[in-house]
Amino acid sequence: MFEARLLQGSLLKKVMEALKELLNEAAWDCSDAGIQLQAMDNSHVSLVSLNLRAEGFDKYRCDRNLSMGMNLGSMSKILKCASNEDIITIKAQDNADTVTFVFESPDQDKVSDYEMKLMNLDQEHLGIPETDYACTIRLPSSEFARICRDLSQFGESMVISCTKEGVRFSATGDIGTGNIKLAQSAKVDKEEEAVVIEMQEPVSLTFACRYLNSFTKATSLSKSVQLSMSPEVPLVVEYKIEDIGHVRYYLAPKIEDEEAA
Amino acid sequence: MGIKGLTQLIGDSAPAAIKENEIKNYFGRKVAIDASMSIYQFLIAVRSEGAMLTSADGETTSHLMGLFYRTIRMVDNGIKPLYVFDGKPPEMKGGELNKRAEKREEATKQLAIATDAGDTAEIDKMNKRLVKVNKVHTDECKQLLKLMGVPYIEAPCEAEAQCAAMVKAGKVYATATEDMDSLTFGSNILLRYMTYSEAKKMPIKEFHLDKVLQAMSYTMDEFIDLCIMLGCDYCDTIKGIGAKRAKDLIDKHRCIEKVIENLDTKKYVIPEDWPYQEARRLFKNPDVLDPETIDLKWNQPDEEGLVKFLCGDKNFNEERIRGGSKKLCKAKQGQTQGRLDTFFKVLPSNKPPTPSTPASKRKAEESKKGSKGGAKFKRAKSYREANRWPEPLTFHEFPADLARRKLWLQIIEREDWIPGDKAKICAMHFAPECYREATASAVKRLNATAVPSLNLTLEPLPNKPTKTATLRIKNSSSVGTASSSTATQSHVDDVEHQPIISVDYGHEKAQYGLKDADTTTESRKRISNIIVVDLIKDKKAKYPDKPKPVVIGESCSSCLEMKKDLREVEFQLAMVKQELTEQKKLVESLKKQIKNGA
Repeated sequence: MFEARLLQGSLLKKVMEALKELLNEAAWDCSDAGIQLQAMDNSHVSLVSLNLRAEGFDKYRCDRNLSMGMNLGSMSKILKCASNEDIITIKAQDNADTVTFVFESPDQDKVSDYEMKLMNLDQEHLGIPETDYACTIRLPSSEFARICRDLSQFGESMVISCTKEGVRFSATGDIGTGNIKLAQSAKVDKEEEAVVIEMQEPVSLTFACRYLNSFTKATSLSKSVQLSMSPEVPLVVEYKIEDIGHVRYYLAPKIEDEEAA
Repeated sequence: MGIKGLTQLIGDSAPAAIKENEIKNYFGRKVAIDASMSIYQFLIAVRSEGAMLTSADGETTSHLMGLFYRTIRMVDNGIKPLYVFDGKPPEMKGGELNKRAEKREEATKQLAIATDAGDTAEIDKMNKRLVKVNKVHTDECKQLLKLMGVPYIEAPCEAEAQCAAMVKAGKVYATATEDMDSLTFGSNILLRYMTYSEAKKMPIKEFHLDKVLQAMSYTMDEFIDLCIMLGCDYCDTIKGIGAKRAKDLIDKHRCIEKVIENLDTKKYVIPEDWPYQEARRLFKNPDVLDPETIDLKWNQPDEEGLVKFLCGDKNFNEERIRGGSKKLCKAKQGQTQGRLDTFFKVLPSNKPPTPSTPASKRKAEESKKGSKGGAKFKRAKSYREANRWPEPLTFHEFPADLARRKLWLQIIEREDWIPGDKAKICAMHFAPECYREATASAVKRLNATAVPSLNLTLEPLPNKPTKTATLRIKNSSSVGTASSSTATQSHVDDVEHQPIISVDYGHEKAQYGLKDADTTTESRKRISNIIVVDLIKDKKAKYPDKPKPVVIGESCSSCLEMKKDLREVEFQLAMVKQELTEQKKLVESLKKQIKNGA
């Protein structure tokens, strides 16, 4: 028996928004520690890793480990039926082939439940090693979304370079070039509005704008976002979800062509 | 062409080996393409109003059209194509080639008839059958590829074999062809529908040889033999043996020699002079160029050259050719997108392969027919998969060192018990740090300080009422088996297991067990799992007619799945009975005392 009750139903709706652009289907792995999801997009360029800890739920019960393969398109259709104030409960029997979503209105006078068929997914799990990144950049998530949107007009790919002075995002394309520089904030009124850079060595990597734009769909989950980079390893874009967990995106960098040289 | 019925067979018995993917997901991959096959395809498929495309002076240009646009389509998607042309056909292929020539003759006749009758559909069909790739076609294609800056090589013999050799050497990612031969030649990944037109919207089908072998549990040699049995280009097959029977035979006998030995010659006629050994040799050691010596280079296209070649005498539209050339140029420059799998390792999959309907049906039948052990094994497997336990599970003996042995027994709460030399604890109960560094033998061994620490307490029962209900049912059945098996139990020579289940079922009346079984479930939440391992042995002794060897998975199943298992119920029953006997004795002695006192 699996049951997870979430008071802030809107949170699940936002999580769904953050996932469904990259993934068509994914396995939700439930254990007594919480709910985890790890999946790559079809082209194996990016990876989404979602973690919702059991403590973040109002009520959480998971008798045995359970992996529920869900079609995210269908799931998002169901979650659209919930209003933002609703309390959402996810339920599944052990070895069941369906999952049930229950939406309760805050004053308890309306209760709706939706049952969805599960899928049998054969997904590869990747082992992601713990890495010390050469640069970590924290910036307001809305700022990051804006940068990605603006620069993707110029070209397919974006260079993120981080130096002592700050971080520079740039893109080049047919119409010209665009550069955005962010310096470390000198004085901070609100912590989440600060730009904070921690750097061991300067890094410059190129990424596809298309994926970065998909990542920014998670902007509503968190006020700030953290980018972690090291030379020649995937970029990590992390959005913390208050009190309950995080969603992390990994993106493989673009590599110089060996023949082109 | 290819291997008869192999696609179907793989679809049925190894569905996990087939994946579908969009062409755009192959960016950055180098792919070897069987050129002769694709040219043939183009000649058939690239047509306008049923006739091949021709230049002003009537020369065919379908192949060039196809090659140009479909190569651009691949390059546009970031794929780096490499064309491999056939060399001389091997002598063995003579028979097959003759057959094809015969078919062609037949088609010519049919065409004449159709033309007389004016049946356009038939004319069309026969015309397609008459298509043959000749030297002019291939030479023109080579010239075009050179102008496009796409590399090609000429194989000394079969193109598929050359492609396979390059895949094996890691020079290219996959072979793109429609011929299933490539798998037999050992190409690990085979892509189908790669050169199909955009308009068809056909997803690319990926076949993985390693997964095929794994799912069918074959070695490469056995797989080659299977392919020969199915029917390849090099020799005949045994009449009356189709895909299914061929697989069954190889499953049973593992090589063609043994199949022939055991075949009912009255029913099936083995072709005289069947050169299967020669065919096998061709598959295993084909004539290929050493992949290491091949230098692959993708160059800039020669736009002027292309225009001259295609627009001059072949009457192509200049604008479109220039457009295509721009696309080739554009794809050349810049960077390739990396893939996450190159940075992070893929963890071994814990999911069971999902068989398609026919295979699953077969499996279901098997498990129905098969022994109880088979079904149990399956259940154990699913349990293990659900709990993400990577195979294989190892078992560990109790330490010889007395102090440590005592510690182990304390941990499992069975201090009063002396483990026999066959008592073992499965790897589920050991933390990873308990193991020694991997040795050459690859057998996982415990280090000197290892103690069982995991999964010592059973999970709480999920659903009590149903649990007790099943307990009751199972109890009654188990009592039946227990009493029936008492006779055989006396034969047990593994005396050391007796302390664990020292209860003789037969002497006890069944109703005691029935009444008290559910009360004990509560009190015995903590049950050491070792007992179960021993219990199977006991069980084995009870059913001596059952196959002797204990599959690791099976013994593990009991270890993991005991609360659901009949054996556990039996064990609990045994404990209750033991208690009851003791109490009865006590009552008896008390009674005696009372009597004596009286």
